[in-house]
Amino acid sequence: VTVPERWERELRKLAAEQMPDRVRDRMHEGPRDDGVPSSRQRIIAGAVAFAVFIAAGSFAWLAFRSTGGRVAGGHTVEPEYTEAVVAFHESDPGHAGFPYAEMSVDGQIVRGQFDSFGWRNAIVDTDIPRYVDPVPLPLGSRIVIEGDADAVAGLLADSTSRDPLDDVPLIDEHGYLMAEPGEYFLMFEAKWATDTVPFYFPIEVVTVEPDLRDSDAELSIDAYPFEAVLSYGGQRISVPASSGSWTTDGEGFGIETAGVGGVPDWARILVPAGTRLELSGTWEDWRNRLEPGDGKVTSNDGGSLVFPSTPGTYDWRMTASWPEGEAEFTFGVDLVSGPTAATPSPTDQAEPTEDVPSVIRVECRRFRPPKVDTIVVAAGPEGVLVRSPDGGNLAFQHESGIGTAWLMGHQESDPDVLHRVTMPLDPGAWSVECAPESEQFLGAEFEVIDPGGFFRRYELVCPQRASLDREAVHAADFASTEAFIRAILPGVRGDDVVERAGYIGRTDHAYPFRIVREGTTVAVIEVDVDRIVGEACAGMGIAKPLR
Amino acid sequence: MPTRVNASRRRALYLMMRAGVMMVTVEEVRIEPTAGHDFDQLFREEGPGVWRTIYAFTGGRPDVAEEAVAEAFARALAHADAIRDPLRWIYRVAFRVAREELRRGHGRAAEVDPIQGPPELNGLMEALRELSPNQRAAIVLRHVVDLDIAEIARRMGIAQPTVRVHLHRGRNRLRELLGAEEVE
Repeated sequence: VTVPERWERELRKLAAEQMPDRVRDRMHEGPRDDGVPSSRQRIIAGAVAFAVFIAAGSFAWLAFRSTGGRVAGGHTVEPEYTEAVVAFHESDPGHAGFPYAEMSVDGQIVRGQFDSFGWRNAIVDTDIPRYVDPVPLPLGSRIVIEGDADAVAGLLADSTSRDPLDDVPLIDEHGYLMAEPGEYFLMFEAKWATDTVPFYFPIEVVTVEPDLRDSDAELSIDAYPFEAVLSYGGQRISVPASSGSWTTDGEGFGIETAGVGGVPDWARILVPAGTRLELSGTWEDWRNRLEPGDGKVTSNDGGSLVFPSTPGTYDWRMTASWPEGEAEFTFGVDLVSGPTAATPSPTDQAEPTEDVPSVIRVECRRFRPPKVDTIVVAAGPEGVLVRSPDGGNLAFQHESGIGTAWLMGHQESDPDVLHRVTMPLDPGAWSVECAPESEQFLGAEFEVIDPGGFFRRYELVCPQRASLDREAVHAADFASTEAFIRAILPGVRGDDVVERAGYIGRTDHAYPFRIVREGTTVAVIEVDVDRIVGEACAGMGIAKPLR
Repeated sequence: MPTRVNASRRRALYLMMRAGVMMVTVEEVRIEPTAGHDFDQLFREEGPGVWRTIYAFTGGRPDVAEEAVAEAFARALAHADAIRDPLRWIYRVAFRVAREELRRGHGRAAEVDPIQGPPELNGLMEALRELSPNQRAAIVLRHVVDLDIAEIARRMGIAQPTVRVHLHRGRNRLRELLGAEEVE
């Protein structure tokens, strides 16, 4: 017998609830005719009334007033990449003359879904597709509205329920898609003279991997509505004003934006330290500061700005002023070591220099690759010093695919000790991923270099190789592993160097031994207590059998 | 362009684009004039269930529930000849009207509105307010109105797997909030 749980019994109380009689009376009064839905009224009213109080989470286009809906300022941000054009049309001959909407992204055209709505005294009742693949849109893509609708309001909705999302930052008033990466429905309400029709587009907001070879970052700041757009290397972050004041027609306003507190992960931008910044917009003056600390993005002689040359994680507060008032905008800026305008590629950076940091800081983030503070790190005698301030589990993968290293579960240990771990990461290109592994590979790449010569390589480069597999007496009978190897492999000459490969200070790691003859590695072997296996270059006499 | 994100999915999208496959297929619009619906009978038999569902959906706001249910039935009466499946239609309109009402007049503040209605339901309503509106609706349609998953999906206008997700999450949350101890 299934016994109801308490929550079920509580729910059953609801079954005894009676519907008030007045509902029947209200039903017979007929449907109310309130025309435009309230949410859109609020948005439109807000925009017309000067949008000083920015309604985070929604956007509106009013009768397609100018392309892109920019009200003032004159400066237009031209996106370098994805722009989604959504067109709304009042009559579709192919669909019984009802309204329709299409979204065009990079040549792909997607029809807007709809379910039920009233249209000129008819009821349109359709079955929407149960699931369709979402259209990938990079974070910061611009949504451009076209067509013949009188007004369009839009917001993001839950990817399964289609419930509008009130508690996440959504599309800003310039139509830039700013939201935590993930799947959503783009939901539009298009208004024509007679009726309003809701449309849904399944989308996936995806992150952009920055091109760190770009020379300049760009920042545009405008009023009406207050918004700043920071872009670099394919990334684009658009933020509303977080605070400020404004006076118009003798009346003062405070600038507030709902939900603006700390800088969320998706509102951070990755920029190489020392990158130039081009500033544009309608402002008359500006000031700024980097936090933590008292740093500023400094102005050079040419009038442009330059980010500090010290890598780090900052909140950058930029205050722009106009004759009517001022507004502050806050960005998350991750300054990383890396190429700038004078240094064209990460590979070229991997030269041993004193400027290369000897520690790499890895910070795990949801939905995004982990953040690394440098793309080149110099190894020490024991390997690469890794700092993981949040104690996340890290998986390192060598570009060859054969080398993997794990840094696991250290968040429960002494943070002062284990948040700085020296990892045996061989020189070369690596990526680091935060566990648990997800369906999507979200790795951050970096390169390990060995300017101090601490690493003994163990690649075997020779025209022909021969396998080695020798059973032997117990290795512990010999004075050293080197003596054991020399005894088992009589082809090893007296002047050959026999040594453990890998990092010279890394005695706890199972690196193989190598045999070096005249500067060239001629054999790489693994030593067990009673066995030696490996490979040697053919013709060197090392692989020949023991007599 | 983004890289390393859902590469297989983007690849599939690309191949489908190349092949000219329509990514979104909206089924043909259907307007099937229907005659003979007895809305008074429908209101008597189904109205209480609709009302309880919407009452729970609003998290214990009877004023919003009353308006949404009445408006849905009123619109159905006004468009009686054009509605194919009146009950399903009424549910979906009621959900939408309730959602609009909440956005219009209450918004986030609604979550801190005092619960209206019988005191014995206060605990339940407080718990339901911790669920999303769709979780509330799915839970009530399943456990109060006793509908199966397919019918819940039809009335909410969402897919069956989505209903299951809402039910699963909603039950777990209610267990956390109200307890799962059994009675004799």
